[in-house]
Amino acid sequence: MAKDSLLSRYCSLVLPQDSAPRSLRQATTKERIQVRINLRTIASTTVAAALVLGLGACTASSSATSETSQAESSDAQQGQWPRTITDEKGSVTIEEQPKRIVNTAMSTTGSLLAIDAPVAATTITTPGPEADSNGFFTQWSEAATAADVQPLYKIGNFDLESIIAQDPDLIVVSTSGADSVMDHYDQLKEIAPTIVVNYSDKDWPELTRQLAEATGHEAEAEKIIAEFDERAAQVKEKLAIPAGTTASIVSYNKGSASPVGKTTGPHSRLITSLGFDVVEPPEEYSTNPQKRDDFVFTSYEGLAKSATGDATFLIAATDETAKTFLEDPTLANLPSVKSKNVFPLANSFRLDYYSSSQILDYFENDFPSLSK
Amino acid sequence: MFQTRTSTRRRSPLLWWAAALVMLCLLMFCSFAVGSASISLPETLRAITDFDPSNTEHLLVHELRIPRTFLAILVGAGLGLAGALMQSLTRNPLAEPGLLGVNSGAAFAVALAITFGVIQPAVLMLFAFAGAGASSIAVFILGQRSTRGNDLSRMVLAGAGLSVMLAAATTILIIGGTSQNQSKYASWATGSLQGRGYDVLPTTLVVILVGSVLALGMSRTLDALALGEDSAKALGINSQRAWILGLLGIVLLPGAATAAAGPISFIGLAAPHAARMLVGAGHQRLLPLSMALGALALLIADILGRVVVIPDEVGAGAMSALIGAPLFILLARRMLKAGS
Repeated sequence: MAKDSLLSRYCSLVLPQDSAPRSLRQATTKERIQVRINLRTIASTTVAAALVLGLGACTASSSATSETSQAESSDAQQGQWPRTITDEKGSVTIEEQPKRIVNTAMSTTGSLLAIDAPVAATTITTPGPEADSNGFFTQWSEAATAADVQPLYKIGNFDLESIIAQDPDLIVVSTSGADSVMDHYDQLKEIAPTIVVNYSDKDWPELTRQLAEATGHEAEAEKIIAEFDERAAQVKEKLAIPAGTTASIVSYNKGSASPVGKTTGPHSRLITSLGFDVVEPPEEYSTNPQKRDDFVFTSYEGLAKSATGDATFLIAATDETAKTFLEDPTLANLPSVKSKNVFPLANSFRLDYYSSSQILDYFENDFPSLSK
Repeated sequence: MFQTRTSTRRRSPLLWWAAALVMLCLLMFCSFAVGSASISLPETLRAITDFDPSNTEHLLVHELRIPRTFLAILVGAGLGLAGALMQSLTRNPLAEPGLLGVNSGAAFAVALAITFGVIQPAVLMLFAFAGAGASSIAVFILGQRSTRGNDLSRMVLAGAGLSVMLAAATTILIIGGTSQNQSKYASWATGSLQGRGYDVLPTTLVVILVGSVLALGMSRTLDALALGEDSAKALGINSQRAWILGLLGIVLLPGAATAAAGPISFIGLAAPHAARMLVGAGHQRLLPLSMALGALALLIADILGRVVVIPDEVGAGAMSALIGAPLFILLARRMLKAGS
C-alpha cells in the first residue's frame, strides 16, 4: 500500500511546498516575531556574543571568506563553542552546544536521534503504515518517544508559532523534499541559529557527521557509523554473495513511472556494501525533468529495460509488492524475475541509522539465499 | 418510413468509411510503435506477426501497447456514441457525458470506494458504473418539467449543479484522505491509459458492445424524436420507451468508458458534432460515424500524450481536452453565427 504514495512523495520533492496565501499569512506574523527576537537577544546573549553573531552573518554573506570558515569548521572540536558550521546556505555560527533542537526536516530526525542529539520537537507526517500514531516514522518512533520528542506540525503545513513555542536554540531545515521550509529560512534564522542540510545528495553517515558537527555529538556519530560498518561487514561475510552478482534497486509503481536507484544513490551504497554490484539504470527513460543523483524516475515501459540486475531489491515494499513485480507480464524477461530473486525491503524509503540497521537485520535473519 | 435526405448526401458515405478505416489501421500501428521505450518499426511489426515472449520489446508491445490501443478505441467509440445519443435525446447540442453529471458521479463513487479501501480494478469499475448511473438518473429527474416531457435548459442546469456538488464532495473525501488514497485516486482521475490493459478490457468490451447495439438500434426513433415529441407521437413512436432505452445507453456507454479510463471530456461533445458536419443529422449514419470519430480522436490523443513529454506521458483525458477545447470554442462560435 505504501508504495502507491511513493511516486507522489517523490514528485513533491521537486514541487513548491507552500501556497501563496499561507506565506502571506506568515508575513504578518513575522512582525510580531521580530519584536520577540529583539527581547530574546537582549535577554539571553551577551553583547560579545551578539558581536560574534554579527561576524557570522558577515562571513555568510561574503563568498570570499567561505574557505576560511570551512577551515574553521573542520578545526572545531567536540566541546568547543562557539563554532561556525558550513552548511548549504553558507555558514552559521552556533554560540553554545544546542540543548533544544527543533527539526523541520523530518527525514533527518532519525539521524539526530541516533547520535543522542537533544531533539525537542520534529515535524510529523500522516499516521499510516510508515508512521506511528504521533506521525513519527516507525523506524525511529521508539527512540523519539523515549527521548520525549514533541510533534511540531504535519509536513506541508508550516507553523511558525509552534516552532517559537518550543524555544529552540538550533533549527534544522532541508533544501529539498516535502519537509523543506526554505521559503521561511529568513524568519527561522531570526529565532535561533538555523542550519540548512541537503539529505538527498549524501548517504546517512555523511549526513549524520554533518549533524554531529552542528550539535557537538561527533563521538556518538563515529561510534554508530563504525558499529554499523562492522556489522555490515559481518553480514556481507555471512551472505557470501558470489562476486559479480548484479542488483537493481527499484521503487515499483505498477503502471506508472518507477524510480530506479542509481549507483551514486544512498541505497546503492548499502546494497554494494553487502557484496552486490548495482546496475546503473539508463538515463534515457527518465521522466523527471531534473537530473538526480539518487534515482532515475523510469517510465513504466523503460523499467523492463532498466532493472536488469541478477537480483532486484524493492524499496519500501512488502511481499505483496514482490509478488506483483514477479507477476508483471512486461517484466517477465528480467533476470531477477526469471530466477525469482526479487526481495522487498520493508522500511527502506529513507535511509538513516535506524532504517539501515533494520535492512541489515533483514539480510541477517530473513534473507533467503539467492536462487539460481 | 421516415428518412432524412440532406444535401450532404452527395458525398459518398462509403468513401468516408474507407478513409476512417484506413486511418484507424495506420493509427493503431502508430500506437503499437510509439512509447517511452523506443522500438523500431520492423521490430514492432515482428512483435505482431512473429511474437517472441523472450524478447522484452515484444512483451512491451503485447502487454502494454496493444491493450491500451484497443482500450482507447473502445472508450473513444463509447464516448462518441454516448455524446450523439445524449445530444439527440435531449435536443441539446451541448450535451455530453461530462456536462450531464456522468463523469462527476463516477468520480465521486470511485473516491468513495477508495476511501472505503477498495483496490481491485473490477470493483472500482462497478462503483464507477453505479455512480454514473445514479447521477444521470438524478439529472434526468431534476430536468423534468413539472407538467410533461423534459426541459433542455433545466437538464443542463441540473447537470451542472449536480456536477459541482459531487466535485466538492469528491474533493472533501480525497483531500481529507491519506496520501495513499490521494495517489490512487489521482492515477484514476488523470484519464491515463498507461498500464491499463487486459484486466479491464473484457468488461469494457462487453458493456460497450451492449450499449452500442442498444443505441444503434434507436436510430429511427431518434430521427423521429428530432422533429419534436408531438410529431414523434404522430409517427407512432413511444417516447416513454425511447427515453428509458436511451437512458440505459447513456448510463452504460460513458459509465464503462469512465470506469475503464477515468473521466475523459470533450470526445463525447466533439465527435458527434464533427460527424454531423460530415454526414448530416440522419442517425443511421450519424451514430456509427460518431463512434468512429470518437475512437480516432481518443487514439490520437493517447498517442500524442505519449509523445509530447517523452519519456513521460500526458493522460489521454488531459490530451483530448487540450485538443477538444479549441474545437469546442470553434463550434460554439459557428452555432452563435447560425443562430443570429
